[in-house]
Amino acid sequence: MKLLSNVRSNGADLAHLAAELDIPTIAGLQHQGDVSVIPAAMAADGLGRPTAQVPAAGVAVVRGEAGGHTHLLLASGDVRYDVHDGAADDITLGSLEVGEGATAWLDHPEHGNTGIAPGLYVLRRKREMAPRVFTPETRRKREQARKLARKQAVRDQAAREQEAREQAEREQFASVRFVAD
Amino acid sequence: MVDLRPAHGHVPPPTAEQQALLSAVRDEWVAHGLATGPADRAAAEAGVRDVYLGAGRRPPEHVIWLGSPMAGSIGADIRAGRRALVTRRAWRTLPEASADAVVGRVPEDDPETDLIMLDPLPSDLDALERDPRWSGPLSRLGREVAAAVEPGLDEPVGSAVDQVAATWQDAERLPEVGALPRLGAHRPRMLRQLAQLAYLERCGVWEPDRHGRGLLQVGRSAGEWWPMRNSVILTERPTELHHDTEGRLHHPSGPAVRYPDGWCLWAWHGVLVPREIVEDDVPIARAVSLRNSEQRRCAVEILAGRAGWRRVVTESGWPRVGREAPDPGNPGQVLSLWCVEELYDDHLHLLLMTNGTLERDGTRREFGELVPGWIRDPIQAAAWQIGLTSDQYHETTRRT
Repeated sequence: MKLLSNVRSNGADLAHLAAELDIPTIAGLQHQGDVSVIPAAMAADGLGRPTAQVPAAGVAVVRGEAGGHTHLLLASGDVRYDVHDGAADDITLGSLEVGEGATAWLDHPEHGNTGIAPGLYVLRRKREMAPRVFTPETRRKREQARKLARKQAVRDQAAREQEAREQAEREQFASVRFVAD
Repeated sequence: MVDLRPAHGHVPPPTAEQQALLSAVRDEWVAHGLATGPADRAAAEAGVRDVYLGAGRRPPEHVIWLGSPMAGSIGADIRAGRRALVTRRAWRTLPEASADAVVGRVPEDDPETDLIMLDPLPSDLDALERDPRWSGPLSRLGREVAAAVEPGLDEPVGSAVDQVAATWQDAERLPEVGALPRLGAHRPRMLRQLAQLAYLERCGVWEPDRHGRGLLQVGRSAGEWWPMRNSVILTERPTELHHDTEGRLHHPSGPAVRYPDGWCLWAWHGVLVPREIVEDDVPIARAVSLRNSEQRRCAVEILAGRAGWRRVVTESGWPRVGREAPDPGNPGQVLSLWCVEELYDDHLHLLLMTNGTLERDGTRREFGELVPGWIRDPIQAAAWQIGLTSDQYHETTRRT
């Protein structure tokens, strides 16, 4: 796959290269793997306007760890990006502003490039639920509770059947009338 | 030997150089704990002799070398006269030749009655232990060594050894043998205390006695060992040991630990799993019906990595939640949601999605990601992942 970060040398005309690589430039909501570029109007995070200029070498928005790849933010023109320092479980990565006439690109070896049109954006990362981890103690308790519930269900079922049988018997006898003399 | 301790038991606080030694000692003992390759038998046997003599005992008559902790555990039980109670499950974990070798190598006469006490950190450390400037670094050292070695080898090996031990039902079958002591329980290697001892020695504030020196030497040159009154069982170290990036036992296609006598353990990110799940192609229906919830989760993760989530969800029989929806901004692909409560014992749904970009080999990568169980619509699930509403998510222009 052709990537901006492969062909780009320092000071190269990024916009020219991007045009050659035929990378679409988009103003709306877009996702690159687990990074989402969200127009600021949609996100309503209350993040301020970013101030730090994106350097020529780009900014690693998400660093590739443990087999993952880096999402690299590249810029041509007046593009600013501020990293959002949140808690570890915060999904907001930072705020991005692409100035008039400028373009930003997100670059990723697996997902390919994507262009970002002028505007104010919030970058977010996908989150995922982690399954609860049980200690052996709670696991045993849960299994026990489940076993009890199963037993109770069987007992209830038996009681219901018994009830039904008795009901049937009663009905059978109810149809027998003794003649009163 | 020069006694470096002042007579009244006062020791100056650790100097900067002594504190700098901490990480070196930690790395050294983590390396000993996770070492692979043949044991240094001569050194270990000399160490054993020192341990016994230092404790005022006669060195053991039988020095028995076995190939793995499992063989060592069986051997110790045989030495205790409990051979009839070694379970068939335990024997079956060893290749036949190794099992025969254990029987041949371990003498059965004069049954042993107990393990001898080992005491790496004797009580005359009082002044050092009471001083927080020493006890702080010491306990940190112990914690760090244990944190690396226990999940990396000792814990899984210990649970595998003890899992196949005789239960009270077996002992009931043979009450006269069941009354004998069980000596083959997995014996922790005391690496935490040995590292602390080595650190104090390295700092020059405390000189280990003959017993302590022997313990250090055995710890440096062999695997688990079982010291008994008149015999000692020493075991080899693994020949192969594989970890994941977090230092847990892990190998995707073969044994994660292999010992020279052929005893192996298979593990997936620290969870011990049966051999066939890692090495054979287990049908998905079988994997999702495994009894042990941890093993079930691992088996499904392994299969999802091999066959893809799409096949797993269709063949497992898990109920679908909501209806499939086209992925906005990702033409031709769909999002679907599946109930995986059975798999995780937790109220969770699995969002199945397909990558927008083709892989190098022309296939599309599929992702299965967990979302909370209250979400009942795939679009809403995808929107939840980035904190948007489903209406907002519908406006997606592009997914790559």
